[in-house]
Amino acid sequence: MIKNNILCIKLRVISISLCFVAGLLVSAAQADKLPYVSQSKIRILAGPGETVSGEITIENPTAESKNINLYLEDWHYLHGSSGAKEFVSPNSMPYSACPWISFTPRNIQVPPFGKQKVSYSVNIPAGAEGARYASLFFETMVSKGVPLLKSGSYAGFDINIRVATLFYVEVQGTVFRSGQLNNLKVEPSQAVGGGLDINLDFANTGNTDIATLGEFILKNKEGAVVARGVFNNLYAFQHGKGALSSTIKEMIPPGVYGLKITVDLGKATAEAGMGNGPVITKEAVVTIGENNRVIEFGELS
Amino acid sequence: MTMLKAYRINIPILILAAVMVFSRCSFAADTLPDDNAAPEASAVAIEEVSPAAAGIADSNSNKSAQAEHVFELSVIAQNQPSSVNFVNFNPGDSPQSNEVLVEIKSNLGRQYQVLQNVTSRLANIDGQRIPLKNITAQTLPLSGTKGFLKIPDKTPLKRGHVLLYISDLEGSSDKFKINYELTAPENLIPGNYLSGILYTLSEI
Repeated sequence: MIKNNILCIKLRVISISLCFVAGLLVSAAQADKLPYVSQSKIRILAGPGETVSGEITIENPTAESKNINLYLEDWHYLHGSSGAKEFVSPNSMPYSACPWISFTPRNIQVPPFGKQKVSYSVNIPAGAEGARYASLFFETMVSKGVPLLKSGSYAGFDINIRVATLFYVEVQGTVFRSGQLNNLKVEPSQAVGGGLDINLDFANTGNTDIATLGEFILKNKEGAVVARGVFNNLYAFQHGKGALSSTIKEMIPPGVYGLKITVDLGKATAEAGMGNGPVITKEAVVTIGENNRVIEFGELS
Repeated sequence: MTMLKAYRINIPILILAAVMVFSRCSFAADTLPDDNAAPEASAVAIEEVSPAAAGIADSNSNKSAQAEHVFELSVIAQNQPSSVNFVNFNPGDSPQSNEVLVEIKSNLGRQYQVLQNVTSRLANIDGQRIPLKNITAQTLPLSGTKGFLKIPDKTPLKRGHVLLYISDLEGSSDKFKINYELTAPENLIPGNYLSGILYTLSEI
């Protein structure tokens, strides 16, 4: 009987301890839980003189209160048309949407495990046309380089992080997507293993941003496909330019071939659920000799 | 009989404890870096509340019925205290290193980038400076890093934006390290030198 009681007490102590330790561990895990960000891209299509409003919620799933600063900046694509962006001062770019966007509040204190809403409004001026771009940033401090030494040397950096909500604002009834493909080159590949490189230039001749999805097929005289591939995704503002490239890795038998290139200009709008295309299709004749030697290639038409 | 009573009381508690311990294991596997304990982490969350507002077609609305969208950045300095800092360095010393773990979680399925921006000169209160060229940055892969690191070699710091990383085309969650290395200048005046680094996460 006594043994049973002792065993019972031991079991209770063990289980309560387990609960306590497990509880601590779960708390610690929640404290370390990393916040998430959704709605990192907003594409707006509205007419001149119209105002579009929305709300963004900022959530703090950590156990610490977070101070977050909100502000707008402009952005542009970095050289190379890969879609990589650089952010610059508001109103410094010719296609800045910053003057059209307002939001409130500008600074928020999000309590532990709490949420805060931010209201934004995009006012498109009467007479506006084309497309504008901006980024709304949410910035918070991670750590501060503080320990000041009385002697010796110390170098420290404050660390801040920010996430962007990119705005693409298109003025309904005025935007059009169009592009040109030029300067086709088919030449031996520089890559290890040989093959053929296909390069061409792209120019955005519309008045809004374009993100492309491109592909090619190479057909022989009988219409059989002997090679196919995809081009790099290309991103360009209105009047922007870039290069499309792809590689045929296979060894192509000597002969005359038809090269068909298709470039969909509507990748961005498709991702936003705003429709597909337009699509550019161009063809050229390519004559290939022994060992993938390019004898000649014609103009795109 | 006494034993039975004891089990009646303790079995639910033991099950609860086991569930909580298991939960901790899952959280830890999801949130902590592989290589080191995380001294500190912080980030910001944004959630669109009304994506279907009139005139708005947002890129996430088609997926609203699916899992919650995730797009988060965490930056964890591996130093103690958790910051990028160099202490007690002198001319002629071996370079000092600091590592920062950068982790991005995303389920958007779209490519993204991480930028670094050194926001000010590295200066003390008297305006004396340590040239930024005395600090190099280098992006380093971790096992399983999927994206493209843009500073594969040690490169002197400079003010302004520098592209650190571009994800794979699928926008997979990923992580990598940045190694900062300071070499004390020959004409170093002892003091406390401060600057700032801003890391930016955005979609491509």
